[in-house]
Amino acid sequence: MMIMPLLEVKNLVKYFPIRKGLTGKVIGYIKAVDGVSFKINENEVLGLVGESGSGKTTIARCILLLYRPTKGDIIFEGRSVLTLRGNLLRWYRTRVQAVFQNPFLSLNPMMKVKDIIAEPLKTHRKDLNKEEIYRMVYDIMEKVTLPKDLADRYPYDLSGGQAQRVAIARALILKPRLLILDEPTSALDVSVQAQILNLLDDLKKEFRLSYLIISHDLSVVRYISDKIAVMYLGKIVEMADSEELFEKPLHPYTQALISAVPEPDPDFFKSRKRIKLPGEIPSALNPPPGCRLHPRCPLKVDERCKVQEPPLIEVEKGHYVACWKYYRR
Amino acid sequence: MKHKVLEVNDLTIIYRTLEGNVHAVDDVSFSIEKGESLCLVGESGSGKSTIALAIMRALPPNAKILRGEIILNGKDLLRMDEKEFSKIRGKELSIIFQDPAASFNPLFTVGETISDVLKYKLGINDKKKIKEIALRALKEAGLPDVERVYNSYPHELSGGMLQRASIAIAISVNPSLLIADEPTTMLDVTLQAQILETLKDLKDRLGLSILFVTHNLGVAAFICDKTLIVYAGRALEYGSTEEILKRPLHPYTRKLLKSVPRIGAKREKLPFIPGSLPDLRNPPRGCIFAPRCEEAREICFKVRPKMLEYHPGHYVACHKYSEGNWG
Ligand SMILES: Nc1ncnc2c1ncn2[C@@H]1O[C@H](COP(=O)(O)OP(=O)(O)OP(=O)(O)O)[C@@H](O)[C@H]1O
Ligand SMILES: Nc1ncnc2c1ncn2[C@@H]1O[C@H](COP(=O)(O)OP(=O)(O)OP(=O)(O)O)[C@@H](O)[C@H]1O
Ligand SMILES: [Mg+2]
Ligand SMILES: [Mg+2]
Repeated sequence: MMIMPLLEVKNLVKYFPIRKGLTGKVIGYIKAVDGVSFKINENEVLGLVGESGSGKTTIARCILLLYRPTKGDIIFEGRSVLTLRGNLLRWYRTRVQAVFQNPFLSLNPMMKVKDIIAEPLKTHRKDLNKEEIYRMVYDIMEKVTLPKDLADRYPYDLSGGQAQRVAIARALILKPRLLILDEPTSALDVSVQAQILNLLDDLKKEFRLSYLIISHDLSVVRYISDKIAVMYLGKIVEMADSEELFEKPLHPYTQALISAVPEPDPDFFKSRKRIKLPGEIPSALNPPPGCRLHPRCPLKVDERCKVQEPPLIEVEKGHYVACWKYYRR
Repeated sequence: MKHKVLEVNDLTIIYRTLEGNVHAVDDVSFSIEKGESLCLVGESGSGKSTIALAIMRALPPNAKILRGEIILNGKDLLRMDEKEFSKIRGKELSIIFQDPAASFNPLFTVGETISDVLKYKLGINDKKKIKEIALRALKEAGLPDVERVYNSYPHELSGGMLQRASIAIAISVNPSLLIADEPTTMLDVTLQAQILETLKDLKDRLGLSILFVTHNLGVAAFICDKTLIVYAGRALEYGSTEEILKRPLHPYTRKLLKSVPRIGAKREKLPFIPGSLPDLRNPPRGCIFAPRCEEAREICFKVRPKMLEYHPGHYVACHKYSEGNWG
């Protein structure tokens, strides 16, 4: 039996037009996301990694309906969300929530912690009275291990880790099914980051949540994700179960990425062979034809790599890669 | 004995604020030999940038150096006048920042900026000679297509290229010490690896000494011969990077190392350090880490531990390692 995925992103495309002069004539497109598909099941975590500018945040913003996709579809619990209106749109907005990198930028500095956390309830749950609302606020504060006495404080009184827990509490108060986490620990210290990662892992189990987590830190993504998708210039180049991806990376870009992670272990660098990608990441305005990695690819590049884009194919169960090297007919 | 390029002794710095004095750096000492790299490793607010700025004599006006010496090639930077120091800044001492854009004026090309530095710092006036040195520095910093980079404006280059160009400026004057304050924090891992390799190569080939500031222990493992662990303005552990990472002594260092998720490790609960940094306006009396330390005993809250050499070359400031105190 096939289980229905919680979220399905189908052939998502997002181009940003570049306009020129007073007439606003479109002179080109930034191909931020260029045909991306993936699924997230219930209680599953998908990690999205890739170089800066590869389109990770753009995907997140499309799912959150902050950007209108150029093409493609986003399906949540069986419904296409791009055409939702009225009550169904409100329903979707309660089911999917987000947590971003800088907690201080996303918290209103003029509001008390308890009111920040209560805010989504005040908009979406008009049926609740004040007492019920604050009871829920204190409940969720306990779940994210925020001490009660912080409820009446303001954001500037909080440490980075506490502020990020407030953002998580606010995201959870409507009991969503999916959390979009865009670099949720990048602004935090390592020792605090560990605490937030543990918390996210616990919350996932307790509330049967699903996450889409974006981070440039591969070890963070590896720690929390069940599946990982690797992006390069608007495309997914490889996708597999988390352990499989780190043990058997197939795509040369994934191999380069993993081999570049600095581990706090002196022997690690002695034994490791770094796979280097020469040159700089090309512009999303003019991505190279064929395989987008071909000008920098450490493998032998043949004619096909230069002209024909490799499809994302399943080379082993659940392990997808877009590279001609693995394409057999 | 090897030549010491930099020696920092008992450095103590406060910031004066309306709410009181912030004890940002308290009695910190370390040294760097020729061709050696030292990492200042610590979490946000531990005083790393304050130390780097003090060496550059670029502290903000509300900072005050209460005590200590900063000796570069035998001369105490804190006891020389501005005229004397201006000959050293940007020549014997160079710095690269987290944001490479900070090293450039957006209105000038990269080439113009480097040429300016060379003209004023090295006093070279021959245009051809200047360009020659500049192009060589750009190449040394690992940039391809140096002629194009030389003629580019900062906004025409990617973040990684710009960071390499700022390394080029810093090394073009042939400094004896390069200070790098989190130079790779804003870059992707692949770019970070490239920049770190570039710096390491410069160190090995040109005998450059580097003071590297980072919060990332993995970065320290890659680039640094020695490491100084700082926490809330105080030095807790000091020694060779290999020793510290393999046999960490201080409870803080141990916890910190365990809290880093590793790509090769099994997925288990990550240990973390409960609590947060102490208020630096009113630091605790004994060991600065005691309020968050699981192993702390009575003495830790009363007496400040001294830095002691526990193994040859491996120093730690923790009562656990001082005989008699721990019982
Ligand atoms: N609103 C926008 N208008 C125009 N271009 C945009 C916009 N948002 C993103 N882009 C471009 O789309 C591409 C993808 O950007 P995106 O922010 O999705 O990357 P990312 O993978 O999240 O990168 P990072 O790791 O740096 O956050 C980039 O080239 C970016 O410059
Ligand atoms: N101009 C200033 N006035 C008052 N306090 C300051 C000033 N600059 C820094 N501080 C304080 O001094 C302490 C050390 O700051 P510093 O910037 O040196 O830390 P850091 O280790 O570089 O941190 P980060 O990793 O965040 O860059 C912090 O508590 C900081 O808040
Ligand atoms: Mg992003
Ligand atoms: Mg700093």
